[in-house]
Amino acid sequence: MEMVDQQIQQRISDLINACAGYWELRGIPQERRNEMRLELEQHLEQAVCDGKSLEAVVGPNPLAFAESWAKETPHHFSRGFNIIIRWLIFDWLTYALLFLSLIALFEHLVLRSSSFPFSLVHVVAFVFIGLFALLQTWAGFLSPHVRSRENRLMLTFGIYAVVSLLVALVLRLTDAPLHMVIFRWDWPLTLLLTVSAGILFGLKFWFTRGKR
Amino acid sequence: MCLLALLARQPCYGYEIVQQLAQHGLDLVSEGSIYPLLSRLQQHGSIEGYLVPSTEGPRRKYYRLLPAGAKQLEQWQAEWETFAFAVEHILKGESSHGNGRSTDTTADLRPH
Repeated sequence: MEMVDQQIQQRISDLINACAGYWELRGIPQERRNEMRLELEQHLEQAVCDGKSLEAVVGPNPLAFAESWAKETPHHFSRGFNIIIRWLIFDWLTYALLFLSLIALFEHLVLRSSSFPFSLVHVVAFVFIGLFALLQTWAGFLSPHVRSRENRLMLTFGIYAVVSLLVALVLRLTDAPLHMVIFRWDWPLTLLLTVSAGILFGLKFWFTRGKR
Repeated sequence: MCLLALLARQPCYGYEIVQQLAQHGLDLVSEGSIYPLLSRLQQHGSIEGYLVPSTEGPRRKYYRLLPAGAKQLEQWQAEWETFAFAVEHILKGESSHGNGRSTDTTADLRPH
């Protein structure tokens, strides 16, 4: 019974976090977001205690529910824009820089190359990283339909893998010049990228901790 | 209108409103759809939300009717009563046709 309760609690928590993340993106003030988070959490808990499903509360499309509330609540575009910029820097750019510095280090240290060729395939990889980060952020919207967090993460990874493979297939079939070198750099810049990725990770961790 | 009428009786929180609507036979498509409506009514100044401390856990948000909301409710109630009367009148008129009276639908224009 406790395992079931914990699982439901996890689903409620993931769903609320996904909704709150979406409301933050829509530029809804934090005070208003926090109030609605609490209301929704209490409503979901009470509904579950009364034997209802999460879908009975948020409907078949939780994203549509989040949007319907956001539409009726005062919000500021600039706030949402700041959130997008913050996501691009702390989520997408952090992982992208880490990915780039790791493969560049591999190129320098293992393949003994003095310069690293940044090509079109790396640009495509950056887009994939952004897609992956976005899917992970919004996996909570699957909570009413997918019971366990592990299954939700696997499903989002599955969606990500399918989309990536399709894009890779299209690029291959169209003979896209993936190995076209855009520019090259030497190991000092690789070191700088590695240090930058470390700093961004640190800032991301500090910022996330501060929010909690 | 039903939401305002419930809040006119006593302040309620979201889940309580949904339960009371269901008790009166009004089931929402999804319970969460009450919250965009509550937000809209708040923006219009018809209701206000306030947090009530609880000894059992975190504070709970209740909603209460404001004077502007009471006025709006009065207006909607009057419109509804007019509408409901008209519909009932029409329905009663159709059912009296099926009770053995003439089925001729043309108006009787003979002078009486």
